[in-house]
Amino acid sequence: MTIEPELLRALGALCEPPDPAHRVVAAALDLPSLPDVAEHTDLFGMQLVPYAAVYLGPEGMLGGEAASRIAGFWRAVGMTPPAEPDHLAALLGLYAMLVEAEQGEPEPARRALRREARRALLWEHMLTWLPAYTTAVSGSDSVFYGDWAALLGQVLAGEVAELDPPATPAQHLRAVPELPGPDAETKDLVRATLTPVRSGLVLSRRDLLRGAHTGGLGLRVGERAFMLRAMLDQDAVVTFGWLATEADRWAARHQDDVDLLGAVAIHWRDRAIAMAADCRTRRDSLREVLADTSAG
Amino acid sequence: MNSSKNGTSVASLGERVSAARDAVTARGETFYPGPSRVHYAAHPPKERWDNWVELDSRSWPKRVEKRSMLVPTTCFNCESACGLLAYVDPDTFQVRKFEGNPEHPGSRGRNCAKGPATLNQVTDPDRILAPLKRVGARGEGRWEQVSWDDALDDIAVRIRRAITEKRPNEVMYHVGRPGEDGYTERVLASWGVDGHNSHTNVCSSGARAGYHFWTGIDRPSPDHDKADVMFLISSHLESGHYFNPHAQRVMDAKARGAKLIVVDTRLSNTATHADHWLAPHPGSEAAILLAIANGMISTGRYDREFVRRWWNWREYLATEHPKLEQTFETFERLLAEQYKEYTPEFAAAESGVAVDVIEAITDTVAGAGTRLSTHNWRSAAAGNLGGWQVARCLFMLNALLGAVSSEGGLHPNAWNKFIPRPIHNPGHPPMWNDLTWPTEYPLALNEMSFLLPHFLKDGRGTLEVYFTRVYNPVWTNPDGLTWSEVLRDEEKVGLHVALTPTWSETSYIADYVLPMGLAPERHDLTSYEQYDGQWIGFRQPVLRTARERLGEKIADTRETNPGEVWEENEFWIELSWRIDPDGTLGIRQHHESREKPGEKLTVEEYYKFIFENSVPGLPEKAAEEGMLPLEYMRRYGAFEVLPQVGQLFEHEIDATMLEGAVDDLFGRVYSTAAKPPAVNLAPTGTPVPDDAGRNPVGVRIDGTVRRGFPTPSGMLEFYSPTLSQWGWPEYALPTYIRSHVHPEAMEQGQKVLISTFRLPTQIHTRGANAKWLNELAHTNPLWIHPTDAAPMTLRSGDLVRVTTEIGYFVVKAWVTEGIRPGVVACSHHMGRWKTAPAGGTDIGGQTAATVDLTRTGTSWKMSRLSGVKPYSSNDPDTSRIWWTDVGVHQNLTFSVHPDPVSGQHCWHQAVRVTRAEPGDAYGDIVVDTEKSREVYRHWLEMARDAREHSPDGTRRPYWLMRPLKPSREVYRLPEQGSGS
Repeated sequence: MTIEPELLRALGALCEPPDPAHRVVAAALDLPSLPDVAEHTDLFGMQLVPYAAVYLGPEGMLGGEAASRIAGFWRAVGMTPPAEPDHLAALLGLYAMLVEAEQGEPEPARRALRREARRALLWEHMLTWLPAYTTAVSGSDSVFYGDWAALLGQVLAGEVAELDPPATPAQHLRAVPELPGPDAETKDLVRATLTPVRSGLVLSRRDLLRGAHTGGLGLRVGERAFMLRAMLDQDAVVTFGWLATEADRWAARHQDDVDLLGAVAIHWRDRAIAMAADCRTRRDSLREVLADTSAG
Repeated sequence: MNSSKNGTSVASLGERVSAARDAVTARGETFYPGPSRVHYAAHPPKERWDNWVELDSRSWPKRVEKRSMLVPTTCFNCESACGLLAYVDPDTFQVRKFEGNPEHPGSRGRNCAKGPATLNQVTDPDRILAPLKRVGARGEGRWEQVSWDDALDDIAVRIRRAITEKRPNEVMYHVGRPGEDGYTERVLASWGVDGHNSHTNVCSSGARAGYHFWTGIDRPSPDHDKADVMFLISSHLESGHYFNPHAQRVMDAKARGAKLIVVDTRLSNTATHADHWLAPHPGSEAAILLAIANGMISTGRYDREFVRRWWNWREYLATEHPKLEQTFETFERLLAEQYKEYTPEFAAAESGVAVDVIEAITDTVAGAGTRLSTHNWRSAAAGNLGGWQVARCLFMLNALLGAVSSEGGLHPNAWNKFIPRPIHNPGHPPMWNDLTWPTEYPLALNEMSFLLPHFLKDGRGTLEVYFTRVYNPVWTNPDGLTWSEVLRDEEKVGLHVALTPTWSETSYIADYVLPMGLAPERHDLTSYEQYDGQWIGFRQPVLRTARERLGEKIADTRETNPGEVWEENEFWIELSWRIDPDGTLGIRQHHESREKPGEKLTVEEYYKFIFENSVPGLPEKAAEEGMLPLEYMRRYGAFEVLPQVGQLFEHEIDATMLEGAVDDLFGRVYSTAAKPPAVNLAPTGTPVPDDAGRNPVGVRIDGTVRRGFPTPSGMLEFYSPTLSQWGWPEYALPTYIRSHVHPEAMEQGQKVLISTFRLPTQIHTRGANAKWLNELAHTNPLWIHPTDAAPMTLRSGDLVRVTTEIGYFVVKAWVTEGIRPGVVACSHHMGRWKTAPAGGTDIGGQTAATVDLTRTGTSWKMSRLSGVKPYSSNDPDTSRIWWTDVGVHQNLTFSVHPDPVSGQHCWHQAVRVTRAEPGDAYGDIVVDTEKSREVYRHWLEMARDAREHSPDGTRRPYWLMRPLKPSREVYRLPEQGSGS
């Protein structure tokens, strides 16, 4: 099936702040009424920022090596990288352009080259994080963006059927650092946990809020690393237990994608499984220490 | 098949969203509004231009809405013609601000500082608001306001008299940057006068000549956007030609990973962005270029097939080497021989650039293939004797690589420019004006404008009416005091009319000063080569358009302009009618309405005709949005006629054009088929018919007749028979000419002074009355290297005396490593002045220093009385002027240096730089105009006169471009002894 490039642009436009003119776009996509700007800001500004670098970078932060790598991809296909080359809307716009370039190329050899570029963008810079990301957005409170994410997921699945994965998974996935060892300091552990490509988890502020409620912990509002550290400081056993459960949940989600995505989903699943195991080990060690302490 | 939540398939959603976009776009609306990463839309969506709402920043923290009507126009500062959007307050009909017009294909919504500063020019408290006539002697500084009627009648009577008394060449129109395409040339043609004079020979004609001899077209249009390597011999990112449209594309390409090579003796802002910055000795640029060419030729790193197909090598062999075997292999051998002396070592010795750098550049250029975009404008081509060969040698790199009209290559400008056919198109007059086209310079690409005062002093002619149009030759040209002497002489210049929005050193010595509109106050049509595509831009009086949008009918632009400021289009129609009120001179017919015969043509009808009849695709595009073509242009301000042009020279000629076709010896094809009328009037060379009167229609390449280039051969003229036959056989091939500032030509202790560079936020006289720009840049110190400063124990800020051939100026030094040792540099952009009022009007308050200017015979001395200072006006900002400096007017101390081939003034000066002497003060200028006469005569002797060198008894090769092109008979040289 040949994808309609405008569909990708439209989905990209809708992760931008809502504008009255987006009503036409949303209606054409069968999506519910446009949310207000506050809902957009909460989701894309506070919970799940739509930049690839956050989900693919070894620090789980904006910019850096992952964003540069994507800017390099823009250059490699002869495009000028925009100010934010790894923003989801930019990637969808670029993908739409590559689809058009392929469709508009009459010469078979050149068309095959365009298709390779499209395949590389899809498998290296989109499918490496968007299945986890759309899953996380689908689980948010927003009806509009939930449906939007579900539709985006369907579109990407369609592209997977259209374009086989490359022979080897993306080098940058293979090069992701392992989780820190058992002796790591708390701050390193927290950073790794909040780095999706290392931990296999996508944890938003809302997820942490839920975790705190679940564990009966007080919530300290701040950036996510601060929030998670505060939870660990209050009750590390409970917090590791909750994180292990979250990791189980994410491992199951990634497992669901293995048939479709192959090595990419396996990477995410294995990281989540490792994360779950690590958290349980830490929890159990702490329990033992606590038991020893109380016994002593 | 995937389905969305309610069961609609993804495929059908795709179709729906495409259809929705098509429907929204067809209504002229924006589908993806607001700053968006998937679509360029960071500007107000065009469907909201009638009523754009913003919050008033001055009312913060209150949320006060501010409504504007957005009306496009075109910037009138530099020649880029970028799109502007005027934000018009619908209640007060004042322009609040200017921002970029996203619908403009050249500038794409982006502007430099000069665009928004148009607002300063509009509200300039010193601007001229009514027609003024001098009182007392010329230059005395006293004026009286007169009516437009009185001024027009006086001027018209004089022009009519010159025409009826068979003195049409005594009417001259001298234009700075035109900022419009073809309107005024058409007016002059309708009057039957060969009176067009331009500033081009003090600007770009050197580079133009280099390009023209190769391609028959006189400007480069580099496709930077898609280039892999960009090679600039100019400071494009800050001030070069088409600075903003090119700079944004250069930066886009750089962001994409393309390499940038900059050749500039000065560390310009552009050089700071280069991957390779070369700072050669001034004048050695062509040696470097030929070393690169040699490096490519000698290693076979060039496109053999392109060279074989498109260079006129057959003509070269047959003419210059008739006894050798006439094969391409022979040519290649000769080509290698010809350039082998240009080794990196030779270029390094000439330029001071290291051998390994030249070799590295050679590899970079050779690796670019067809994606090499190059550009030379002013800079070395305008600085040096033989500078025109710099552009010619630069183009040779493109021609070697086949990077001509290729994607990412260099395009001839006429193919990236569109000039539509106007409503009336009078033929060019059967006149020849020797004041602008003297026989000494038969190959000059443009009028010998800067020699005009010398020619008048020589007694070669006089002027009855001389228009300076938004032009300031006293300040802009070399030898301004000779200009001043001549313009004050009423026997030489009967009536001087200055058409200008602002006061200038030239308008002070006019008889009439007539206020002309700025960017938002006039109609014009523009089109410039800024990428591989063709577009037109529409300048319009925005308040007139805004009021017409609200239903008013405006018949005369003066109704909406400030004071009595007019626009040139209407002015010329009115003046033409007054020259020929009853139509008996045949002038009026070219300014009459077609819709209402016998009545005056209106600008409305003029542009309506063009947009409806002469711009392919515009009526259809307008109809898609339910508009008439003129409405469309008034709403959007620009239209892209053709997005991608490509290699027009490869186009096959239609068989119908080959009726009675014959080939000449080298494949030029002539036919008896009638030439179809041109759709695009962008000027090019005009190859002449053969002896049998057949028209050149193409050139045969491997058996197929293709369009080729507008050169005599139809090929790229590596070998120029024109140069060879008109007295310059030694320059028939691209070669290196040692400059007048070559070290061997300099005396001990002299340095080269570079004066050809702009300040990024200034634009000669036009930018002078913009307060924001003045605050940003208001001085022009002398750049000097520490090793040159040390012997004089100079520090930045110390005064130095710079002595030229005809005088000296005193300026502050700026000690910097940003200039090559042995070279000094001073921007020509500053140094505005006015004489003390002495009872006259004090004008030019925020711009010009007040000076005492005394003359003793041919000796002039200028002393600065004061710089600028705060003053009261209707603009409170003038009381906040915190600076006093305005720079120094160095051009006054330069004599004329006409290049004997291109006619370009060669700006570089051999000077002595010394510490200021006791009694010297900042801004002092001393000049002896008799010395400038001597220098003029010396350079004139270098010319090769058509009367001695013309191969065919004509004044000039007919095929060369000329703004007004008389019939071939007029080209015949006058009989010897009969005068001209």
